[in-house]
Amino acid sequence: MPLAVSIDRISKRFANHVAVRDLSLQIPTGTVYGLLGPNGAGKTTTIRMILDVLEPDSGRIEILGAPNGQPGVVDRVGYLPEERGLYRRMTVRRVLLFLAQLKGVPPDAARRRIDGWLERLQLATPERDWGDARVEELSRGMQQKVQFIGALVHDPDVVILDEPFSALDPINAQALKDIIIELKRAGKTVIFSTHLMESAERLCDAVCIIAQGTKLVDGTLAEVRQAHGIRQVALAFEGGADGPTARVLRDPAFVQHVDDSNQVIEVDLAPSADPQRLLRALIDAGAIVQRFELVQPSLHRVFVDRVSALTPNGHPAGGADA
Amino acid sequence: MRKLWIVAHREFVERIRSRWFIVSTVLVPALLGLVIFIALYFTSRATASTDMSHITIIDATATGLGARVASVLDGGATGDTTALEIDVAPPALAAAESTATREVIAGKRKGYLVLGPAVWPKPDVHYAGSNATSTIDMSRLQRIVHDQIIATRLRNAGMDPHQVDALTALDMQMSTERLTAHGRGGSGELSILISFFVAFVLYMTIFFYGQIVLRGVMEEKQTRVAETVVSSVRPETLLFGKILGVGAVAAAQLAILAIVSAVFIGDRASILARMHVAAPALALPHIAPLTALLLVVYFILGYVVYSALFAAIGSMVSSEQDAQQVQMPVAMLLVITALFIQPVIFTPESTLAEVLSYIPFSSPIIMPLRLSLIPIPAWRIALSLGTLVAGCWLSVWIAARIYRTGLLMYGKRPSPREVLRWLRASR
Repeated sequence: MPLAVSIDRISKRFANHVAVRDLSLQIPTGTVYGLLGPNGAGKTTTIRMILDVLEPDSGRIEILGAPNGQPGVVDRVGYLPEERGLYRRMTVRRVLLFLAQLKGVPPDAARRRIDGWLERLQLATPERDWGDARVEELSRGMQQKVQFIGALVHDPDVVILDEPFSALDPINAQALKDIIIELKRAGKTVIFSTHLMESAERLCDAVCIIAQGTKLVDGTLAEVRQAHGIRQVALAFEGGADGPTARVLRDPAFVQHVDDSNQVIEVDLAPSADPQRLLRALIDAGAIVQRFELVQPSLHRVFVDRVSALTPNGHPAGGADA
Repeated sequence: MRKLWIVAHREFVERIRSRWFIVSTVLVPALLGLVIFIALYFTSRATASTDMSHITIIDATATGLGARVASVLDGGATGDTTALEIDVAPPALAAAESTATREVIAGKRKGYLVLGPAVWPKPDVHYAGSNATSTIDMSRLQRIVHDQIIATRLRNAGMDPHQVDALTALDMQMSTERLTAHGRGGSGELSILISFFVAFVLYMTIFFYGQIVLRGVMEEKQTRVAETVVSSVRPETLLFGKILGVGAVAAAQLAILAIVSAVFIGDRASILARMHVAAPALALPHIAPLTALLLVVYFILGYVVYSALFAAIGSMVSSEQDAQQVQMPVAMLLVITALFIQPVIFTPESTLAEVLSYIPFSSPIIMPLRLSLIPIPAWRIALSLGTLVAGCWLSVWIAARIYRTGLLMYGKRPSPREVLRWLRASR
């Protein structure tokens, strides 16, 4: 499969810190790709370099097989920045027409598409057409919708969304999720950065976890989970885990780590432990087992483990939001 | 190029459509017109001053000179004679004068005119009054007395009074005209005024539109729309597009101002007559097409030098207070240049004026000023334009470097050291 984005060993150093260090990524076309990392990991810097807004100090970036600095290449990319904003005094249609024209869409085609999108996202209904209102007259939620349209109005092959779900209301989050799935069905590539593992886990075909500007792991969701190399059991007991049950869960012969989330207890098995013998030991200890399930580690878990392995306190000191 | 055009087009159209543009385009010419109208109004009132009819004329000539002066002062035969004319014998002159002095001090009269006994060979004429410093009134009074003394002498020499009146009736005003190597250049005073006006308009326009560029960049940065736009165009394109678009707005506004002024000046007599103000006799200086072209070139280059720097400042700061502080050095360059306008007008050939013509920050204002005042050798103009183009290039280069880094940097404003680093850094 040809690559939507190919990043070959890019680095970017700012005055006081290294934002991205020797990062390589291969993002196949037609995938939903998650760029995961804590705040200050270098996600936004990476995205800005893909878009040729910033120039890497070293390394190469190709989009759809062409160097990203080549004229017209970034026109095939749609971008929704983390910090969203539009010309407040312009009317919605004029802003969108401007953004579409910047991407090379002829005005007539742009107007048709804008009308289509405004109707689809209910910004232009029979009762009220917000397309002719100034951006500043719109609610925040409506402005977010306009921004989605701005990123998609030129029908890009690659869509890059920087923290798309932060500060979205649930309705817009749902709308955005639907759009992402639809883009994927249409064969487009969607790359989004997030620090919300739940949304990444639900949406992504493949992910890359980066922290402190360095790639920690990448691959399909299954690969990333498998590469993590831990076996987990999700448990639930009637009446909770106390007394003898708790003692079994603390036995290092079976268990490496326990994460009790009240409704579910996630247990990392010790390297040589046999899950069958753990189940037996629990029953022997008098526990009433409601759930005993061998599970893949959650993305959240992989993320927390990988990132905290990098820095003891689990919250690497990020640089400025650059 | 296409994207540059789209950015500039948006900038231009959105500004032209704004209420601000309409208001300022109508308001600026209206205010200028009002100022000119008020000035003309008071000037025309001043020349028709009624004050002079409230003086005492003490006439010791025994020739009726005082009566004739009084009648001319009051507007001739049909005039309402309110000037007090007293004929006295020469010995009573001193007493009459001291009475008149007391009346002036008491505020009953504006002043008094003394016509001494002799009209031949040397008349003794003097005036004292509260309005003695009014040059317009005094020169009018002097002219009238002068004319009437001549008329009196002619009558005394036996000439027919009617013939005397006919021959001495002369309403003349000397017009002045400036001669340069290029030929006639219109009225001397007026050309200085117009030069000053041109320099001032250049200064105001560069400052005003530089500020608009600064605010525009700051707004794009603050609303974060810049990030969306630079994902489609290079930061440099956005920067130049903005400078171009705002520049086009400035050009449009100046063109409107120029057209309105041209129409008004061309048709001033009938417009002013309708407002009951006498049109001044204007000998407008003739501006050579080449000078006019140079003026436009200097304006464009000057605008680019300053607006690029203002744009860089807009990209550096994140708040209004920071903007005020950081723009100080650039604003000072402009203000200092403006302070030199007056010295340069009076000594356009001085070394100071010469030096200021080669500094890119002052030449866009000083050079057009000098060009409209004195002939300047072509090579000096070329040198001045050369340094200005180089200055333009440098200013745009610096601005582009600061802009592309600053635009996406938020938080505290950068220290001068950081800005220097931006200048060296790649994107």
